[in-house]
Amino acid sequence: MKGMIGIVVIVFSLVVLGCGSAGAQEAIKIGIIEPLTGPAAYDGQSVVEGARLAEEEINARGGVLGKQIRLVVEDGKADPAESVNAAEKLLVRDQVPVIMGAWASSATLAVMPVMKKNATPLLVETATSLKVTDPPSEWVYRICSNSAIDGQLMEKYLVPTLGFKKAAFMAANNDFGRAVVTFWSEAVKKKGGTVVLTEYHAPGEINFAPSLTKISTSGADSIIITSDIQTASNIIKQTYEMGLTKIKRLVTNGIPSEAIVKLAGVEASEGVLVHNYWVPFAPPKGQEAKNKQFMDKYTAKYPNKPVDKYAAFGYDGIRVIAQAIVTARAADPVKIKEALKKTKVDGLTGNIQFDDKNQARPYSSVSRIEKGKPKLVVRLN
Amino acid sequence: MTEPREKLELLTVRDLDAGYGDAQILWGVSLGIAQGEIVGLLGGNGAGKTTLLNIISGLNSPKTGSIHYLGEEITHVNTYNRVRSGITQIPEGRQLFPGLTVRQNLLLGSFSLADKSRVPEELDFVFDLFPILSERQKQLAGTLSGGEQQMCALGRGLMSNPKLILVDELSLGLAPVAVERIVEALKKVYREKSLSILVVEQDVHLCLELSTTAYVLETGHIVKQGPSEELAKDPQIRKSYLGI
Amino acid sequence: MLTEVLQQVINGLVMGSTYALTAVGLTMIFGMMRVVNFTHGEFYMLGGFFAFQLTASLHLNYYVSVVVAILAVMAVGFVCERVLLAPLRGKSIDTTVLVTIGLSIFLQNLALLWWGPTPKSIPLPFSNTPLQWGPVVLTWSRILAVSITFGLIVLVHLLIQKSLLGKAMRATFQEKDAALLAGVDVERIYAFTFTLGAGLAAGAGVLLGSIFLIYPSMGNIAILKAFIVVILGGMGNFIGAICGGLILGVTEGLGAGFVSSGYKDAIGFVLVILILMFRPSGLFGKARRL
Ligand SMILES: Nc1ncnc2c1ncn2[C@@H]1O[C@H](COP(=O)(O)OP(=O)(O)OP(=O)(O)O)[C@@H](O)[C@H]1O
Ligand SMILES: [Mg+2]
Repeated sequence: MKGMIGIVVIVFSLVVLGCGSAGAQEAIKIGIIEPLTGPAAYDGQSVVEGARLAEEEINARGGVLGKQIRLVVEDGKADPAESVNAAEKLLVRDQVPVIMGAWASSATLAVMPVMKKNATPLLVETATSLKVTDPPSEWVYRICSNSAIDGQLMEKYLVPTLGFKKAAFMAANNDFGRAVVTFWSEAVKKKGGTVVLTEYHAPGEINFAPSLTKISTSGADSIIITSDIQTASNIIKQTYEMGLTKIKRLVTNGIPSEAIVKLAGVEASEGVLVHNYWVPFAPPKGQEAKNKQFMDKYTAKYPNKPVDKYAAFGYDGIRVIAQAIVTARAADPVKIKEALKKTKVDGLTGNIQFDDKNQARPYSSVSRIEKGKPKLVVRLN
Repeated sequence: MTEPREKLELLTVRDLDAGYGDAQILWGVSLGIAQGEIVGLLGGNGAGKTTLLNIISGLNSPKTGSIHYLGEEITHVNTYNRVRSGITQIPEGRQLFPGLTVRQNLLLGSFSLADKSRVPEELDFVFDLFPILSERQKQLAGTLSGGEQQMCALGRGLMSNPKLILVDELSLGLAPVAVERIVEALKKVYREKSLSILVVEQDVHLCLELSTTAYVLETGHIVKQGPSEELAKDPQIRKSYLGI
Repeated sequence: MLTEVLQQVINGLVMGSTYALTAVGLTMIFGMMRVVNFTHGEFYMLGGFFAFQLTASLHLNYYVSVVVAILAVMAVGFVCERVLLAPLRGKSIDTTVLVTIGLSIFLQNLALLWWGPTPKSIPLPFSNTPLQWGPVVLTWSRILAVSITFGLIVLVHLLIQKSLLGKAMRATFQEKDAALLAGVDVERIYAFTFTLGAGLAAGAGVLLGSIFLIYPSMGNIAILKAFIVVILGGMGNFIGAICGGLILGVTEGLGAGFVSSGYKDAIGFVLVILILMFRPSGLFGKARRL
């Protein structure tokens, strides 16, 4: 027991000394909460990697307010309780003036009250549940889209252009999945389509044979799939294995086509429609050069990983925060919050500026996977 | 002890202190078994008889003291190696493998035999000794009657071709007829195989009748030892154990 | 309707057989050694990753890789048992639980470091196009998984029932002291049981990993299901684990198909609660059977 206490004391002092001796009294800390372990770790890592690129660039240009910025990353595991812990650590231990996170809608919604209590702004980079900005909180800003915006944008295309007349949903059983089902169902119904079936799955579920069997006998002509990369790919793989390729399949919320092809295979992903935000192959007009520069840098630093929207949002998120700190002229939570309102960044993911609900409007599009390669079908905005 | 006796000694236990956790059960126990001898161990409930047997077979280990077998110290040798070298214990309460058949129980008794070609011979010997076991070969051991179980336990012990058998309370819970059958069998084994036996018994008559030498264990101390015939005449023993 | 039921039952049997394979090892280790092995999920995960490494990086034949991956995990299991569990023999169940939980966290993070969080898929030597058998759809990888699983289960069953080693295992399980007195090297039986259990978990990991995807935390769900199965079948009950696995698989399939897929995982827990309320020693009664 004594030995144990000894070890704990040593570890603690190392952590404390480590923080102090990194000498970063000068650096401005930015907190980040991402899933670094668990089923969503792949995506969370991407956000952090994109953020690191932005950190490097900004510091190479001399930082902000004459100081370097330093990212402090905590693992929220895409889990509400873990993410709240992470937020409290960042706020209390590291005293960060602003946080980016917390990847999942459920985790983000759980972190929001903590931010409010500590009067520190949160920049939401990937969580799409409407509840994050509706009702709006003065402490929460969002650069990614939300399901209500997506639903509105898709309305013009889903039934009329893409022919999703009898749609079935397969969605993660969390705030994110339920929000997508709500707003995309409206988009289907408003144009005369019907939703024949909605199948929710637990996060981390791997076996979709039961749901797909149900869909195959439901008369659905299309499946709308909402989940994380590996789960969505798994579903695509299994639709193919169960012979459901005649049914149109659409994956929502910017899951990268490359990942789907890699994980589900070329055959299984043939014809799959993908709803994108930032994508490498179709940058918004005028962004081509900047986009290429970002991708080259990313690939140089992380050679084994395709660039995805999570990296782009992570990159943009840190740039928005840095810009806000410059406008605020101080690394002060309240001032940063005020500055965010006025911040405008011409980002990779869109022209970022916040509306009266602190919501930005990123680019989005729909593409189709053909022979393992994504082809742009339509730009939504 | 005299020199010639020492040479014949099969098992020597010296100054054993042992117990469970903080509770000491055995206090400086010493005991010897000569080759070809039947030794009796008497003592009331909780005296520490089973504890002593478990230490000899290696199931428990002593705090201090030593055990020598065939001239070698085996105090820290594993149970299965002791079994391999010829020590077998017929445990108190039989401890058969209830979910295995009678035959499987017996065959497991010869698990330690290096020369597996001997197994059929040993099996025949046991079946010859207890024909009922031969009839009940396929029955699950857990469903045998008490007497049959004790036969099966003894048979299983014999399957390892032992040099020393430690018998713990053979007669426990059995009708006199059954006890008689099993004692007869034990005597037959003793006659036909060259082995030694340590008999632990609450039935003092039986114990002293079977053995040539006996020890009396009281709350972990050896309080008396000597030829069984003499102990049978000992007034104190007659009074406290035989109720005469 | 009828074909849907049939398809759901078959889906359930595929999953259930791998649940059974994972649970058999877990239940054996518990029954024999009184060790609740929280590392079991990581053995499952390592099975998948070893097979991935062998096929994708070293380009070994798939079937060879399956065998080698299982053997490699058995080696890992053996070392873990000898180094970490053997010194704790006779200690309370809580102590070993702490150790296996610690080991599980360690191995999972090691896998995360080594292979990264990116999910991987094991390259298969055959195409996974659907096979239509009447109204039922299946793929080769699923047929293969079920066949190998049942093959392994039958093999282990024969080993336990017929071989001398198996009888020594059962003897140790039923009366440890008497087994010692019969000359069984119980330590070796423990090491063997743990190693075998690890190998079975690895087998399930390889096979399910071939159907789905592999990633460092894949063991978490697997062990959860395995615990449910062990409770369903009765702690330490071999046949119980097999039936429990199949029952869980089929109930999940039917439940997801005809009640709600959102509550698929809850079905297992409801089963467990019912079992604990009405048949605490498992569906198959007697706790002491091996
Ligand atoms: N595993 C154990 N843990 C703790 N105490 C024990 C254990 N086994 C036996 N004892 C205690 O040791 C003492 C001696 O027990 P032991 O079984 O050796 O007696 P015994 O002479 O064989 O008695 P009996 O004739 O009733 O079988 C008893 O007080 C008993 O309670
Ligand atoms: Mg006793």
